This record gives sequence, C-alpha cells and structure tokens, in this order.
Amino acid sequence: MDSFFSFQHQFAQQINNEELDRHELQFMRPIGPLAPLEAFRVYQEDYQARLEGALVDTYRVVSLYLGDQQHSLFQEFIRSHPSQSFDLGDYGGDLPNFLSHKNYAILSQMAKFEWTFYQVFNAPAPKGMTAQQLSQVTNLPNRPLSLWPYAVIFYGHPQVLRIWELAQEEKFIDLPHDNEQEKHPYFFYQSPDGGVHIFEMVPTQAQIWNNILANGTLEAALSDLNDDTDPKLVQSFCALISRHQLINPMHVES
Amino acid sequence: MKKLKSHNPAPFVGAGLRTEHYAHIETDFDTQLEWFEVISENHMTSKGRPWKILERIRRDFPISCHGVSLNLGSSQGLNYRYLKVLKAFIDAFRPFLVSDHLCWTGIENNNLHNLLPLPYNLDTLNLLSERIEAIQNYLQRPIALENLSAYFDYTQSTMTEWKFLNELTKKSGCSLLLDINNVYVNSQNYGFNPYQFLEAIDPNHVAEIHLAGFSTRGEFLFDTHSRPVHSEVWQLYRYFSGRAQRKIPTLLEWDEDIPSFGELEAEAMKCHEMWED
Repeated sequence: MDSFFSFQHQFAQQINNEELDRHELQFMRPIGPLAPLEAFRVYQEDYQARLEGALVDTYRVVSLYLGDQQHSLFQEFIRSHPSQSFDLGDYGGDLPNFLSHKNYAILSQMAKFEWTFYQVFNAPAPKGMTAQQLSQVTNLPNRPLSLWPYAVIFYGHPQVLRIWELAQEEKFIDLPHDNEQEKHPYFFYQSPDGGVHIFEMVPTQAQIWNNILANGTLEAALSDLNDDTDPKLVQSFCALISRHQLINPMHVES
Repeated sequence: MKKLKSHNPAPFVGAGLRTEHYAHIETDFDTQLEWFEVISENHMTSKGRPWKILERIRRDFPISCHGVSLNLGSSQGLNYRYLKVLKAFIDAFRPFLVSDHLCWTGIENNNLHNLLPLPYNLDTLNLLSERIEAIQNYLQRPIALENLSAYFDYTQSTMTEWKFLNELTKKSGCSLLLDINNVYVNSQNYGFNPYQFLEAIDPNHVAEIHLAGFSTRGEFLFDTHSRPVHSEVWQLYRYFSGRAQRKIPTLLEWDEDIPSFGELEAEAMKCHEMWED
C-alpha cells in the first residue's frame, strides 16, 4: 500500500496546484475519454467549489459585499488554508484574519460577526435553570453562577449589526471607512427553541455579563456597577438571561 | 467477528433530508415517504437547530445515517475522533442503517471533502477488511459501504469493482449500499455492462439502494444528483429488484437544483411501480 499512500499525499498536496507530477499521473489509469490530468481537474474543481461553497454559506453577508471579488479572494484563501476537519462547517475560521490582512477592515469585522453567529447557531440549546427554578434557589445573589458558554459578547463597529440586518433583507449600504471607532458590544445567544438572537448591549449590560463571568456571583457583579446605573436596564437584562436559561447556579441540579 | 444487528426493521422508500425541505417537513408530515436519510456530518457536529430538527423528524420517521468522512482508505488510518462523534450521534438517533463510502477523502490536515476511489486489489481488500471490522466493533453495529462514481482508476487495480465489493462484504461482514446511478455512470464512462455488475452482486448483501440523476459533460457522465432518475437507471433498478427476495430500502438522492418536496416525493414513489412490476 506504500505507493498508494504516497500517491494520496501527492494528490492532496497538489490539489491547489496547476499540475500533478508525472509520477502521480502514471499511477492513475484513465477512464474512457478522460485523461488522468483531466480526471485530476474534476476533483480539483470540485474541491475548490466545495470549500468556496462552505465559505459562502458561513460568510453570506461578506460574500455579498465582496461581489465580483468574492471568487478570487476566496480561492486565494483556499490555496493557503487546507481544510483540517471532517466538518465542512468548521472551514474558514481564519477568514476574518485573512480579510484584515487584505485591508478589508469592516468586512473582516463582519466575518467575525458571521463566524460568531454560526458558532452560536451550532451550539447546544441552553440548559440553564428556568426563571421559575431560579426564583426558588435560596440565597441566589451570593451563589457562584455559571453562564451558558455559548452565549457570547462580540465587540464590533457600531454599524456592523445594522449592516448585517439590512443584508438579511437584501438591502445594502456603503460600508463605513471609520474602522477605528470604539467597538460596541453585541450579545449573541440561542433561545431554548434553537433560534439565534443578537442585540446591541448597552455598556452596563455587557459589564454585568463580564462581571458575572469574572466574579461568579450576582451580588459581586452588581456591586461593581456605578451608582447612577439605570436599575431597569439591570433588571431587564437579568430577566432576559434567566428567561432564556443562560444562567445556572453552580452545584445546583437543574 | 460476531454478527451485530441493526436496531430497527428497515422501511422501503425514502429520500435524502436536505435543508431546503426543513420547513415543509416541520409543518406537514403527511407524506408517503417512509424514511429519511441524513448526511451524518450535517447534524453530528451541530447541537443547535440541525440537531433539533432531526429530533423532530426522528419522532415520526426511521432514519438512515449516511456519512462522507469515514475516510476508510486513508493512509492515516482510522480517525477515532471522528468515530467518537459519529458513535454519539448514532447512539442518540438510533438509525436503522449507518453507511459511508468505499473511498478515501484526504490526509491529515488536508481534507479534500471528496470521495476518491481506491485501487481494487488484494492489499486494499485486506486493509479495508481490518478497518471495517474495527469500525463495526467500535460502533457496535454493522455498517454499509457505498460504491462510488469515479473518474479515474488505478494501474494497481487487479480486480473489477463488483468482484471487489463481493469479496469485501464476505470478508468484512459489512453490507453494501448499492448506488445504481453510480453503477450506470461508471458503466458508461468505463465502458462495461451495468447488468453484468448487478448480476454479480448478491442482493442479500445489499442493505440500501441509492437512486439519483446525473449530468453529462461532452462524452462523460457526472454523478451530480441534480436531475430526476434516468430511465436507464430505473431499468437497472427494476432488474435488480427482480433478483431480490425482499424490498430493499431505497433512497432518492437530490443535492443540486433541488425540487419541491412534492416533486421529490413523486419521483421517489416510482420505486413502488418498479417492485410491483
């Protein structure tokens, strides 16, 4: 099997090259009118189309904004990024970085936004305690809490959510060039029915989430807030994370 | 190895579950189709909506799990990380059949996401038999392997595909997922008689049949799953049905230019006519 295994390595390594080594072509027996090099091209084209399709599926809005440049840019990415997983849905995690190096600043952020969306989309549905169960936990404010790990805050350009939402309605705007603006926090979470939700947080809400992550108890998280914090914002956010089962007191069976 | 048994009795006519049909299936379960086949990789790594939809479908239908990443003939050996995820998936959904392809799909750190052929010779036969036994023992159930449509062969091949398939099922204890469209496509491209292929296959070793449509590019046929089943493929299916003593679960695959659910169902239901003839 050694020569066949060697063939596999050469074939895989050259899938993005223009030609196959003559040695590998000799290993392939032609079928009907299809010469070995033409057969290699069939698989090569399929490989490139499959990976490009996976990128377009994950980065739909980025693809739409790239327009005519999408194909050549994604093929360039594919040439330098072989797929390392059996799961095509895992492919392309480095595209935001790749776009950033190509000076597609806002689209790089949009790519991170879309990658975050798919991570949350494919995550298990939250299984924290229901609001009713939480209300029955004694001394809740002082209990260490665990937050559902697949609910995440994404920090991005102030317009990134609006651009994404408009694109869902097939509406497109001129992309902003002021990439250095202060980034806003966007909260991604999955509701128990499997739907992905995104909203722009006010800084206080992001602070509560991060404080719980850092301190572990609700009391500690809230004590770090400024005195002039709007209590309604705090209340509504706490209600949201409990309603969607994103929170669980540690050491309490749900 | 000891014989393992599937968990559920097998139904007859099914179709491949595709995202394009989710909405219809979620709202309208009034279908004559008896089962669905899912691409394992589309569901097994997602615990989100794809998993939930499959739970919903599984409540009402038997399913078959068809993989594309087993990479049985890889130079890297078996991927137990993949098998672990697959086992958790099939343990959760209890499919009546678990299948993949007789192929290699890539090497470490370079997955080609393509079904590439293997040389049909004794070395490959021995290697695959050992691996299939290991897989079946790990999964604690038998698997089925599908014959490919391939666009090249190897100078190292020493036996016909049908002889290789027969030897493999006997030696390893796996069953065959017989893709009759692939048999037809290969027969036209290679220039062999597809009836000779089917005549050589023991129906008792066939756990499932695939039907699909192909495309042509010049003189060559390509297995694109983008069209209705070709009349010649229906004839081959009718011929093989005549040799079988039981209704073998039969699936219509349609992956490109996917029609409405109703059209898909109507095409699949033609299987009944072939068996009744």
